[in-house]
Amino acid sequence: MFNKIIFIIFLLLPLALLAKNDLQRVDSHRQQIIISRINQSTSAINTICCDFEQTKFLSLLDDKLESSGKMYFKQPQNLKWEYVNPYKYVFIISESKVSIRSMQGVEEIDVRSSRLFQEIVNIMVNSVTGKCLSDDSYFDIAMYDSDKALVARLIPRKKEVKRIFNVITLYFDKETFMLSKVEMEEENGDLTRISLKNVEVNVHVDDKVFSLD
Amino acid sequence: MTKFLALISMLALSLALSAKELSPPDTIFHYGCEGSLRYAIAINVNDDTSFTGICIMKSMNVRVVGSVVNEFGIKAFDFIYDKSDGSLELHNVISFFDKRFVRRTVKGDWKYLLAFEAEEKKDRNRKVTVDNEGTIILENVKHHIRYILSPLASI
Repeated sequence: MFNKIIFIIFLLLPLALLAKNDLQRVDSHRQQIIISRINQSTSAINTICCDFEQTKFLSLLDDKLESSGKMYFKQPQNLKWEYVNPYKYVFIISESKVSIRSMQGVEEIDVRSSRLFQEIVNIMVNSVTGKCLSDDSYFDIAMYDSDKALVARLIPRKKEVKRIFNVITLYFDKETFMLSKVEMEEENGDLTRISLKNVEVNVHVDDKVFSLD
Repeated sequence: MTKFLALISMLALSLALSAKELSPPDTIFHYGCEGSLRYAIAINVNDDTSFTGICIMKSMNVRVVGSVVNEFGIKAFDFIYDKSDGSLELHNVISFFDKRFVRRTVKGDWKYLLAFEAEEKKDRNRKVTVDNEGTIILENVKHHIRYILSPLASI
């Protein structure tokens, strides 16, 4: 009898946690409406500039690694992810090319040469714009509503991405429908959280930003 | 010509002085009171950069536990080194490292690095150097792999 009670408590615990976070799963009809609103909002976006803060929770060490930097986006598919602190690292997607500047120097990769790179590039760009919610070839999508945000939980379908991530969770501001936070859970129990701050939309972004020169 | 040779000699001497090759049982890792170290890491194979990221390691009693992740936070591998028996295990190895030969080589290299203080003699296939800024370079001469660990300022 005691074991049955413990078993039931453990079954109900996840639901209790969801309730505590005010996350309510929305039905498929409402999900389509939310995705449509996000698409409507992001379709008007030509450029995005923001700061980001990244926290990597390391389960084995019971520790975390914090980093920060700047992100730039410009239609149709230009993305710059620049880590400033505590390490310098630049990742640029522009015109089917990925350019990386690390402590080892500069590297350029043709996106078309690697399927994994193509998938990562598509996910990154489409996550920033919210377009990933409309393409179910990449993810199984479940939307949740809460007091603070609209939450999309994405379960990867592509083998290359599944190997790395269990779940990717996107948080959208309820008023602007803009992406505010991303969480990536790995199979090993690690979690990476990226928060976007000081977001500026449709400001001038020079094309030179997407070059390492 | 003579001046040129002198310049080259001075350059070679200054480089030799700036990077010191270590021999067991020299101490490589100084954990300090927090017991934790962080490095920017690069792994080069045949002089090409194969991987860059961050290495965090913690000394926990008889074990050293560490994680190597790339700049985006994606895990390359975890390791657990047991000082009591000199054993090292790799865990949560990302798919492109998770090949038998690669695992065996990486495991052997990291075990050599972490067990350095307990080693009795040098390994002729491996070389460890450290420069004045604390950058550690482990070189697997046989397989042309180089691990470069540069101290990361804590935040």
